[in-house]
Amino acid sequence: MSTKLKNKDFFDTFLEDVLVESTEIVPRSLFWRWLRDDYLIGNSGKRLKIWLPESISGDELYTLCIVLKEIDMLDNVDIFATSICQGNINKAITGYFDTKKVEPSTENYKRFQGTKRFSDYYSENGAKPQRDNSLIKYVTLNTINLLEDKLPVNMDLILFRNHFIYYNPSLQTKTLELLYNSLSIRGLMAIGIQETVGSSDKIKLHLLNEAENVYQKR
Amino acid sequence: MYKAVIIGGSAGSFQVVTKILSSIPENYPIPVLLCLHRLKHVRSGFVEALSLKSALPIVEPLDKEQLKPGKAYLAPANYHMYVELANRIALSTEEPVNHSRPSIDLSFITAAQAYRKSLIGIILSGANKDGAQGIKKVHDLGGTTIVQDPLECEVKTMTESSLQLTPVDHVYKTDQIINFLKK
Repeated sequence: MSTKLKNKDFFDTFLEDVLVESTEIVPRSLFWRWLRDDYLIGNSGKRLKIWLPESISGDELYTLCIVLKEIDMLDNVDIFATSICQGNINKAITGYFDTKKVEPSTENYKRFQGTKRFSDYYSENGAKPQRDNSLIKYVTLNTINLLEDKLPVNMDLILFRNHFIYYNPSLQTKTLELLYNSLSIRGLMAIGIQETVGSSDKIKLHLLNEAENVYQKR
Repeated sequence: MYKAVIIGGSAGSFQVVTKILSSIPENYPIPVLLCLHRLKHVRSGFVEALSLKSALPIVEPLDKEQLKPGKAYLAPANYHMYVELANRIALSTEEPVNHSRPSIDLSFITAAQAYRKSLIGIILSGANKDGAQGIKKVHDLGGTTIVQDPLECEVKTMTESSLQLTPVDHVYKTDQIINFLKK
């Protein structure tokens, strides 16, 4: 067993199995409406740097790109989508997603009140729906181990929703500190609505949006 | 002897839950876990509605929150609510089970594993069979199992499915459930 785990490919396959995928696109539409209306549009003059530190299914990335495209900001941002698992990066590149996601995602998109239809953003030529890949044209996709590798810096926005729920407290604390260090001053970090950042002297975060659990670095 | 109560319900269970919560004393010595099917997109209002007449404070727990006696914990919308060892809540966004997230099965199974014979598991009125596997697990691991009498249920599917799978300890009407919990 231990020889198998040292095998990088096997470990990557294991990670792909074990990391929890999201089950819908445009999840929590209220968050995306707030992000669009209260943050992105007001910062459209700036070239924002946005990081998704654990892009497992690519759904969060896909949603972000849709939101940015609809407000004409997609080609004026730097997006980094990373994962510890190469398999997930490959998935994000190809853009296929589970048919099961279509219905809830379509409903979510309607609640989000986008300018088009969700079906405008994917095609169903083959067995599985495939995202319009032009959406991720400007995204940098990389494998990164948050605890071991060099991390992006000066990020304006970090999206890390519903990942801490899968971490034990010690990993959560370590990861939070690393992400905090990657934020620029006044940069934003969004986490899951039932997650917490705890309290630590090293982390000076101000709760910017209580309903959507978005924090700002002071 | 008991360390927790867990209650699962869906359509028709709201009135029963509010009656239970208003009848048990406010210094109830163990935590009460509530896994109720709920509207996915509605984030507020449910706790408030349940709290109106409740003797116990009700919260939607944060991930890794410690369970305390005298408090009720309602599974948040669109999350599964697990009980971990060391008496903590763990939340998850894994796939719906029995079309439900929160899933009663998942909550009950983890609670059964955490508390074993020190658990009371209660299944109430509902329209699908979520919870049947869960209450079976409570039974298999030595916990006390109660199903609301189907004759009293607004919708019988959930309770009947549970009874088909498991020889539960008690089939009770709401008042009997309350009396049992008060003892």
